[in-house]
Amino acid sequence: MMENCKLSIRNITKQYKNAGARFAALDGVSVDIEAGEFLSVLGPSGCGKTTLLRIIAGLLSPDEGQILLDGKDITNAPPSERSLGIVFQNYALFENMTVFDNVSYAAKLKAKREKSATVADVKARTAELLGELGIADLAKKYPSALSGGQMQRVAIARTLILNPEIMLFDEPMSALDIATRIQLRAVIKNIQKKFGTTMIYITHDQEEAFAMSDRIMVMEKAKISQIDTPRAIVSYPANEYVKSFVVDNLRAKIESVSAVLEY
Amino acid sequence: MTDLRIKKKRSVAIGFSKFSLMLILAFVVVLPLVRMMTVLQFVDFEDVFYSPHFKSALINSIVYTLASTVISVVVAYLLAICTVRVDIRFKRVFSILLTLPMLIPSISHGTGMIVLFGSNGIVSRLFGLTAVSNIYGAPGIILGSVMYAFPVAYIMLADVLRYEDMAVYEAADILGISRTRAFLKISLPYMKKPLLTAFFSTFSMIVTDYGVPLRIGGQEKTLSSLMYESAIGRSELGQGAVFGLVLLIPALLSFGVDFFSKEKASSSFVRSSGQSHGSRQLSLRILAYIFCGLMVVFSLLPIIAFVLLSIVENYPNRMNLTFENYAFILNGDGLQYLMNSLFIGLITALIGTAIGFVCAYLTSRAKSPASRILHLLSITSMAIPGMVLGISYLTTFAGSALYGTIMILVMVNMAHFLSSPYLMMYNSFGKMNENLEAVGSTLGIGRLRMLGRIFLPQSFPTLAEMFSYLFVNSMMTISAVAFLATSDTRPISLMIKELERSPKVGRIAVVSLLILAVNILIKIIVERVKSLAARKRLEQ
Repeated sequence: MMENCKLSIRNITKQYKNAGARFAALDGVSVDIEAGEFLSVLGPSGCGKTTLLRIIAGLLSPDEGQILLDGKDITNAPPSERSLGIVFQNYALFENMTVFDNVSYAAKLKAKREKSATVADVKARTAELLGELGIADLAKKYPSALSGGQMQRVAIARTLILNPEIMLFDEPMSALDIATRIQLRAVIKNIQKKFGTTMIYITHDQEEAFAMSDRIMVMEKAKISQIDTPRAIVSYPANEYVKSFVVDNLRAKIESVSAVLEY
Repeated sequence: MTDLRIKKKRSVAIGFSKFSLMLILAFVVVLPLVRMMTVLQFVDFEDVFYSPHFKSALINSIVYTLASTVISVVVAYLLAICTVRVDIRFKRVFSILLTLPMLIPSISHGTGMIVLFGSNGIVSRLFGLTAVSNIYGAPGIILGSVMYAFPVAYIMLADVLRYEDMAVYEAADILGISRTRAFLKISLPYMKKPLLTAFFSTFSMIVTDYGVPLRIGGQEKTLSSLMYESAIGRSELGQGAVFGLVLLIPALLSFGVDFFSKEKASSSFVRSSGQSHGSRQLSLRILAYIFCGLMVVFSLLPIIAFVLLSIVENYPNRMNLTFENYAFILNGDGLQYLMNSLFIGLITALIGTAIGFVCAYLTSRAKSPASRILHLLSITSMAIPGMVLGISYLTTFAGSALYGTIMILVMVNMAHFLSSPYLMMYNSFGKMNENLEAVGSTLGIGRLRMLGRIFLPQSFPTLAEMFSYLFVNSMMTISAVAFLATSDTRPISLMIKELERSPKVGRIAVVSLLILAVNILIKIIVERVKSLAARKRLEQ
């Protein structure tokens, strides 16, 4: 186990039943994630990456294996006691609440429950977060009036308000256009730097994984193919699959773009 | 450890709610049906089936219902095309006026046909046809049935058309495929399932209704009017139950068709695309105006006739203006019956909306194997005709403390009407973001709190629709309640049957108009509340 390990995923196995037959969604997956690290989980659809995310969040329980947070076993802990936030591709905002209420609601409940802060504190903190994410002027708007990028900022602020130690992203940008994606990448990287939040980022987009990650975990069919820094994966792909799915795809993209840019 | 215990407690609470709701639904729907079956062992089936009445009633039922269903569905489909696919003005006005007949009890439509087309009818006299006009029997049954059934089919089909993907037609246009071919090769195949569903549900709606054939059938009996006469007229419950059993067949068939076509037709090619205004072709537009106009006139005729009849002393002999008919109804028992109806409608709508909401939540957002059973129980009542429910309730609860109370009427209405509002809510829950529970649990917002603060407010428009559906149907129904109402608890819709003995048709007109007025009022209130809520969210 590494020195500064935040989250340790040990030998996680999960099987699903489909039409009577069992198949593995995750087959003995193990990884240690460092505090403050940005880890992307990269793989095609159906490789098990979303299942892994849901198990980390506590929305699913694994058939076998353990999850340790700061060395403490949280395999069976409810999602709200894992100190993590989750951001989905389809935002899942509370449609009937304003942006401000979306962000402050959970914190208000928590403050009331634990008598840890006043309503004024929560309001001030909400305003501060909205400012940091550049959506202060949207505070009174309802989600139906926002663009996709704005909604995703609200969703991020909504998880940040509880000061999570880990943030999980489930393909958060797949529904956004390219300009918004690039803006949002910067927003997320900023948060990582500023709050030191550990981030686990599910994606099928090679370029996104390479642009943002400290390390990338490439998955294929319920198993990990390779975990390494972006540079190492390009230089030393672990097998044919990693080479074709990651390296070749990236290269094709670069070639097609550079051909146009250089006339 | 505590964490696990909390989790367990929550799932126990959900399991318990599912179980309780199953018990309630079993009590109000399944138990009475089973009890009715046990009555059947005392009935001589041969005696019923081989009687000459039965055979002719069976044939009449099939022939008349088939004719009315085909006319209703064709008219409804054409109207749907006119109001969705053709660029005409006043679309909203047309669809509101076309659906007004839905808000009057079927039995009123029987009377409506008589006062319009009978030998002394308004239209007959207008065109000097009094000598040849004979509305009793087949023509009356078919016309009256079409009158109250086509709006239901129209709403179903217009809804499907509205969500059809128009890009296919644009592609066809670009490829140079003619409009006729596009209609035959794209529209019709796409509409096959919705048309089938509309056909079966219209069929089972008409075949199980006794209001029209009893009023206007004359010598022609149908299964439903025969069932009414034997079970209520002569108190031969067993015989009535046998007829009910036969009427259950088309209803079950319709239920099956609906169930399976819905399971399969999962919006693969139905999607809401940009609003298209429809065809601009002048000839089509003129045709659409003429057809919609004619159908609006046809829809409004009975209502206009009722208004006219209600304010004259005694049509057609004494045509002086008077409010005596209104005074008679509202000073007599009418006011009491109206109050009964309002009370029954209100309580049914409140309890039904609440149960429908909770059931739909448990089956769509807290899934488990028990959810499927609860779902099935919630929609089975759709397959049971009101009269069958009525007989079942009578055999089960006669002699119990429930019998003769308003509550039994509320119960039977709930059992009768729950499935549609339940499905409205079920579909609406299905459309809400599937990750909301995951967000709630990671943010530490409990299930109940999510339900109260997130799901309930978002369901508001659907809840309003459910309320209005339950209320309006409770106001109009004459089927199940006919078996269970006493002189103290009688709803106003049943007063029409009572008034048939009197020669003063104006009184029936007054009752029909009262029911229509209340229903329109409720619809307006619900629409206003919905648009206010929507505006509040958009204003910001």
